[in-house]
Amino acid sequence: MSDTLFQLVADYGAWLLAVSCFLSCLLVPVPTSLLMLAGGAFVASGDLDMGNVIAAAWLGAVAGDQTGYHLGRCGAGMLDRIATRWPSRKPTIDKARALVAQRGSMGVFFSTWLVSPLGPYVNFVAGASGLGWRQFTLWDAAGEAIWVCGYVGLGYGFADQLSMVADVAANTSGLLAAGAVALGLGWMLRARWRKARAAAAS
Amino acid sequence: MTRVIGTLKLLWRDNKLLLGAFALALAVTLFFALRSLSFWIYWADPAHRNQAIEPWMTPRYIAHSWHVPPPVVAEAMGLKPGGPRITVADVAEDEDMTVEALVAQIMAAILAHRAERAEAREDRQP
Repeated sequence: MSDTLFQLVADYGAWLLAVSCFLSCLLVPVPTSLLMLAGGAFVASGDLDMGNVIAAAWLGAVAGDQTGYHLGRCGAGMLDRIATRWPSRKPTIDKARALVAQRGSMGVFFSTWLVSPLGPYVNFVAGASGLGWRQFTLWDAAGEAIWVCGYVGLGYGFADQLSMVADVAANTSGLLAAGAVALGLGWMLRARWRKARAAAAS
Repeated sequence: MTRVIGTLKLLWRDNKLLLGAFALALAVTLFFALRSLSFWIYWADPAHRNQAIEPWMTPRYIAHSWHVPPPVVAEAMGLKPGGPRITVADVAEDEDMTVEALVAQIMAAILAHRAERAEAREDRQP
């Protein structure tokens, strides 16, 4: 499958990267990391221009994240309706919003590159829970720059070992995302367990 | 050990879904970790590191990968050096030949160039 993808990058160049970055930030399952690796490899061989490749991928990713964020904002009205309809849920919703407003920008930052498979969800949640647009855009753009430069740089550096790097990168990204989810769920379990233990003791 | 089982039982009683999701996430993490290990073992073998010429490769990419000057590959493919981006598959189609035949042609040119270079090096040595 990766051969077909590499062929596409050779045919369409930077434009393909922009489109695929945009789509993958909106949860469309496109193997963008592979395409960026191939883009970097073609930069190393002299087939593509480094500036164009990075700019295209970065702009596509930021535009995709902005779309996700604004979709989340439109969904925020739903949260408000839930809060008015069932007032008992209002405190929970408010608490969630406060948490994202306080710590959300860090989540946005890391979800763009370190645990990138979680990115699209984080954008949506950030928009829905009312994280400020400026704060979101700033951290998101910075994180996407790391994501894009990381993959394109990796493809550039290991251009003559592209198949190997592609395997390793996809696997590592999966490992980090699954690990992050496991960690988050483990954290929630620990909190529940402590509560149960406290209840049992009293 | 009994304490761990006790804790798990307690969690299972009240949080079946959460515990199940956690176990699943843990299993997926383990799967990726084992795959990392298998890649590492596979690529540690130098024989697996030679990158064969594939249909998606451009002449410049092949030259970069095999460490030969780009014109060597371009000329073997019947192209002018410094031309636009084109792949082995595209050229094979244009020239109405199989990818295998074109790859063999390129490989022959690369090996010939390497032999030439080795000879030149020997001549230079006293």
